[in-house]
Amino acid sequence: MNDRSTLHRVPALVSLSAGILAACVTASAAPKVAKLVPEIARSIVVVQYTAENEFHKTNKVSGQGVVLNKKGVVLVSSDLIPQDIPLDYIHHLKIRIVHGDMPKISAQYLGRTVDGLFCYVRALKPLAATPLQFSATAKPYLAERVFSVGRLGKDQAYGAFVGVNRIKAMIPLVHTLIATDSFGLTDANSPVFDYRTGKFIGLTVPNPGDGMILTLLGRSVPVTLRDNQQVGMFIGYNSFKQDLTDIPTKRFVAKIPWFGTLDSSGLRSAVRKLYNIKQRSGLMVGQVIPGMPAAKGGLKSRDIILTVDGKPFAHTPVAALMVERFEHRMQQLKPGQVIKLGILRNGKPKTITITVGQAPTPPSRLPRYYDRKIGLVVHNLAFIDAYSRKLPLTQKGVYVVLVHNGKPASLGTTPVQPGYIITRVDDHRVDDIVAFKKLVTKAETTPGKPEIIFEVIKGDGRTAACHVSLN
Amino acid sequence: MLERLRRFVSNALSCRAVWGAALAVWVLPQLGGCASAPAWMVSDKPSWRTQYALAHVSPAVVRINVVMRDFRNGIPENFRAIGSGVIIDKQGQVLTNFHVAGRARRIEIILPDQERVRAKLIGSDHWTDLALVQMDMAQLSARHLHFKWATLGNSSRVQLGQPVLAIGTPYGLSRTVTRGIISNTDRFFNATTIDGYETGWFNNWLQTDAAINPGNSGGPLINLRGQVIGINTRGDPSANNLGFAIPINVARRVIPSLLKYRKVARSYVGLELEPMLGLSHFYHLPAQTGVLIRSVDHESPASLGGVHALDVLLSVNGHPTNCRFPEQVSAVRRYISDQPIGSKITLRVERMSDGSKIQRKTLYVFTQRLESVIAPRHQIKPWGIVVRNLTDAYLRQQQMKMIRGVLVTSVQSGSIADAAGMEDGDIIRRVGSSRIVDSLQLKVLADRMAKTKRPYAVVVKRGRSERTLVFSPGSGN
Repeated sequence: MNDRSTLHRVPALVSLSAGILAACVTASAAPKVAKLVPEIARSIVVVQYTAENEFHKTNKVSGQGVVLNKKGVVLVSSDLIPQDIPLDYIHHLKIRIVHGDMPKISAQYLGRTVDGLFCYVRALKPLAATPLQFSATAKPYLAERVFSVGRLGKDQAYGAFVGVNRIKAMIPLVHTLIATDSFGLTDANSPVFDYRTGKFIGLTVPNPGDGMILTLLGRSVPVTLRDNQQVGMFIGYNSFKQDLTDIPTKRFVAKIPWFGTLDSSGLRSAVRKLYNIKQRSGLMVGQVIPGMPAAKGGLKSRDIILTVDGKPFAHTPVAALMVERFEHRMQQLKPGQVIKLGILRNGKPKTITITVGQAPTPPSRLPRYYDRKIGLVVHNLAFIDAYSRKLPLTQKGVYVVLVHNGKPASLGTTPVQPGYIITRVDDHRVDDIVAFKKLVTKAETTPGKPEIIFEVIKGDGRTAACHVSLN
Repeated sequence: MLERLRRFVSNALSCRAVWGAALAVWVLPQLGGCASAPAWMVSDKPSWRTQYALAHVSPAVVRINVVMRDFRNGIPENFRAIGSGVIIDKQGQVLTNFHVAGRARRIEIILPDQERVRAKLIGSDHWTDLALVQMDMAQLSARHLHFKWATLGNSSRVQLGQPVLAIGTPYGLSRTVTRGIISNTDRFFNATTIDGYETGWFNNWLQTDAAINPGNSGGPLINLRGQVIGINTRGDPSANNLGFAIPINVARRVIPSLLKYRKVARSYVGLELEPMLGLSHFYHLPAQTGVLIRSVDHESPASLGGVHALDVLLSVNGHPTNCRFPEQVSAVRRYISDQPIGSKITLRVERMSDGSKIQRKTLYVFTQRLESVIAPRHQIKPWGIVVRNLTDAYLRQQQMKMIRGVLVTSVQSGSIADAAGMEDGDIIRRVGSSRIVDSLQLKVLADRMAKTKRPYAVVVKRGRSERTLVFSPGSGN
């Protein structure tokens, strides 16, 4: 979890003040920008919350948000409320308006976008902020001058600042990443505008820093710009247009399309030559998860997907990009939709029909249970918990998320460890956290019972017995 | 005659001079610290027992120089190593550790008189870390070289605190003798591996404070009767005088198999055992009853026979398997492994089922041959890779189905396999249309394919997916 306080950036202020000054000087040469900046700055708010886990370890998190409408819905970067944080951990979620009296308003988490880039948060009272205007948008071009508007930290009284730069690269991944020289202080979620026309272009993503490895959606993407300057990154409006048009007002769970394949790779030229494939791009299927939509449709490992609904999905000779483009194409589908894949199996063309499914619930969103006496936090078994251990997908049990050091669960001869799957408590099978809670509570309240014995499956798939003393 | 002897002893004991001399012999050394005793009365020689022991075993202790092979980045590299050994009979057989000579490509024995002689491996057993080496007798007789051999003792009679001597070649220093006592007669270690080969499953260890350093491996630990009671195997260089030897009775059991079959055949059922410790009351069993089955190997005979993890194994073929403490586990493992391979064994288990019901079950399991997770490596030169045969134990460990293929252990950078995208850990399933069964077949196919000029497909299993790699002749260096 990142503490998004801007305190650590204070030393950078001096060097960046020159940039801001330059921006102001330039702005004076372009009265439109000077006029726009205060207006844009009023649509930027600070979203903050306290993350607190079961053991009362807390972390204060804050970051920038953009007000989307008059109903008080604010768009924040998904890095601010990461998917691996259980929603129960989020306390005191507030939106601070950073002008006027700077009031703090309680807020509600609404959900995550299908593309996983953003989250929506909604103020529980009317928000005295101006929504950002997306009506006029522009396309980014190389060497185009752009500016972005952001807010400083608490210690700098949330003052507005502007970064002005030129677009130096456009990286066509799933979402086209646009690189500029550093915007300076601009953090994630600062709106970016065309300097000349003042039209909206995109939103900044967390700065990759000096390194050229970007982590986006949990995947590391090497970005080689071959210079030593700092890089600023933003995503073009076209990549998240949908997120700004279908703005939710209530709590929702995004229905993420799911196919059920893993570890696929792009079509290599050697394979293309071997099978005499004329098309340049395709996807070589890796793992096909049994029981999932792709497997049900008859897709097999080593199949080569050439078309989706009769059309090639990636017009690129770069194998790595083919995977990205295929995933992007899949993101545009909806669960329940039927698609036809044109594939090549052992050199022979074939068409298979697949009904797109819905992605399994991530572990952090599953119900959890914390047993204070023995010091264990468990959740229901997620698909990935069983699959990663090569267990059958029908495996029952609860997954150990956290073990409180010093509590009985951590002190046995074979201590319980995070990552274990508990399949039995004493002599009873455990299917879910309800059964687990019932059995453990019963054992704890049985007078004279010296210990509980858990049957667990360890990370390597082997079983073990963990004794937890109750005395 | 006897009468004369009795009278002589009686007179001698009554003689004051004899008692006086005995008193002087006892008193003077006690005064050694404060009053100087005559030099002829204080001996600086080792005790006669130490001398006796060394005289009997030292001439049979040899230094072993070996050349081993490793593969780095798919390229073979030879390296030298040093160990110790002890000659155990007049046929010139040398007992040493598996980790000294078991994987050697070339073995040279250096006799106590510093003469060198060629040797070859008779057999080895990585499970007990023992190996048997045969000196080249023809070379010995041609050069009129002579050697002595040591007597093997009985390690079950070893007592705590008993003085012992270790002889070997620590850090290449031949014929080094260190002295100590038996610190523990029944030391237990969790099973470990030697370069991936499993070891330490079936025996406990003799612990000694006689210095054991790298190079002592394979050398004898001897008692003062001049008998070998252990084979020095492990030491902890970071600790003070913590050395461990394999009890000689373990070697006594292994040697006949090594001589006859070059290896030791053991049975496997697929149980991972754990001492009961305090679990007896949970299973409502008397203390010192049964052993806990911690885990059952995937697709193992025990798994097929219906054994469950967390069952308590009460007996094997009626033989009780009582195991309350960790030191007792290896004996149970050994008992199971000693059952004939392929035989039907009867396991009596206690199972706690839902609702606290305790059931006693009799299960029948057909044993299989115990095999290692890893197999010897082979270089496939035309492709620039090193491979191992796939063992069932490896597939079980990886929780995979029982498939055929060959496991890639290293890929040379710039080779044709590297260019095709082959990686360490890939399992080669097919080359062209041929299914791959073992390394030898792959070697033949790779040699044949090296002559073709057209690209060909190699199907590998990587993790849980299958991939088609295309080998294009001329694509490697």
